[in-house]
Amino acid sequence: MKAQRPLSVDARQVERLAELSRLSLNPQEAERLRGELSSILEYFAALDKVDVSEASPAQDGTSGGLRGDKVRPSMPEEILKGVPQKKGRYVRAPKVF
Amino acid sequence: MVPSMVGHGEISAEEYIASMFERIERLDLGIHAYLQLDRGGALDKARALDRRVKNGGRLGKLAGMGVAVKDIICVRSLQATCGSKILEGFFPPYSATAIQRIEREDGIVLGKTNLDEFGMGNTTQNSAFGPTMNPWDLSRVPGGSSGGSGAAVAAGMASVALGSDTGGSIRCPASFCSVVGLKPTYGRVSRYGLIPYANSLEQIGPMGREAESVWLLFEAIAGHDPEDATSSTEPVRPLRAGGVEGLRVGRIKEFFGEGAQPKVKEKVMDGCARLETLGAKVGDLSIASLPYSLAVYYIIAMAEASSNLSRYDGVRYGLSAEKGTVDWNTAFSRTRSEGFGEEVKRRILLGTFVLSAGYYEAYYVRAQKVRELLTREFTLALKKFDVLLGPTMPVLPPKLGEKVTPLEDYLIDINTVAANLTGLPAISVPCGFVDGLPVGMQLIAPRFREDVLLTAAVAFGKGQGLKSPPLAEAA
Repeated sequence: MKAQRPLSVDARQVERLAELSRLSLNPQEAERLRGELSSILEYFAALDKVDVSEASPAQDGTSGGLRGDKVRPSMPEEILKGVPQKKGRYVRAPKVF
Repeated sequence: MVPSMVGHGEISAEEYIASMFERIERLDLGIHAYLQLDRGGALDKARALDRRVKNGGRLGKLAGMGVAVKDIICVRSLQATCGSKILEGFFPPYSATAIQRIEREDGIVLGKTNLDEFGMGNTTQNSAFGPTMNPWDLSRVPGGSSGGSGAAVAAGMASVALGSDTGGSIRCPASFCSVVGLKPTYGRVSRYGLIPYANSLEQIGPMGREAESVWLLFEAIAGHDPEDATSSTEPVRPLRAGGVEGLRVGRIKEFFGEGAQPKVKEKVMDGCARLETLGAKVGDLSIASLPYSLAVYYIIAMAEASSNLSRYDGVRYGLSAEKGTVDWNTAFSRTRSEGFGEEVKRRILLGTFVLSAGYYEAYYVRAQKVRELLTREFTLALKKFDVLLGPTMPVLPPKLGEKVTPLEDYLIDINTVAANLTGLPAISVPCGFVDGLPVGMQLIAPRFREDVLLTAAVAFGKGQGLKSPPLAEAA
């Protein structure tokens, strides 16, 4: 499939990407990134010149095998120590709804 | 070498490790290689080792060696920052497998070294804690992203160091700081405890001033680990007794391309000639898809980064910028915007873009296909040659603060990314100086043939004399 490949991104696309990436950008940051992203995407377009009709996507076959799915001792107390906001042994998170 | 000195009672481990901290105190104010030191812990371990020497106990292969650790590798009870504000206050509750293996062989962790945030960069200027200076010229960068480890080793502020290499992050600082740096074969060293940036590309690897100490450290950390399913059971082979005699060396034409500085190319050609006088047979070859490797690398690395870094939500660990009662997404976004630096944001956004509906096939899948073509070409080339050669970095270490666009910055990775895309082991060895600045020569070998790389590095380093940066000599 020959997908349409944009050579630049516009302000609306940067805004959408930031939203998907959970980043809030200020207007100057967004404008600077728009330019930078566009020039990098233009560079990526060089791949259009490669004939990939004979290639399948790379896969890494390296593996020493999977470990057994066994219950092992964990370290909940030490992990809880690093939680920024908690209530007793519960992790406190912002409201979802 | 240090371990035998300690083992034979010529110097106590405590004296040796203490002298290393004194050196760090004198030199690191100007270099800023370390983000954190563990003097107390290191001296305790050294004293325990000395007691064992006295009692005739068994000593590990790294006994008494002071190890600097890139601050993207977890060491239990030492803060891990990844050069980022987002991990503020994070103390890993466990040590990486590589660290456990170093400690099992009696290596002693000295502290954590500076890096480009999450390993994203080639200058160590993308650290939230300020840049590291190149010990050979304090006005220049040490390379990156393992720049702190490279600088620490070059200035004698560690016996050896651990770095990690996703697109050249061990080899680039090795080249710029005139030390030996090895990126092992993908799967050779466990990545358990390496905070991920791009899982399909990265490896932990050793850095040191001499090839011999790099080999020692490599042997200690290599091997299968049940905690990393991609780690291999392939045994490590011993170094070749015959040195480089009869070694077939292939010079890759594209590595000596237009983008490379003429004086750098000359130095590496001289290095190649030296390998010939040592008995190697040198030929030339071309790898046609190599010019595309940089685009392939950045697409894949950014895609993996955008997915990996989604874990930083400010809820379970690290920075939490929002203590108010705002909704989940607002809190999440504010923490990430405050915690991540510019380069990290750029890569997350681009990674999100190349993975998004409508563009995934055109960018990500296509890049994976070109990656496959590149791997095929390298596999073929390594049937004709035992090692492939070129300059590690096409340029000399840039000045600190030099204004370049992000794309211009990416372009100097052109010779290093192919080894990560193909999973092949690669090494950078010191190859002389141009205007007082180090040049590195890169060698690439077939999968799991680090022995060939280190055999060549040992032979190449012999009789060259170990040069130290002038400021380190004076210290």
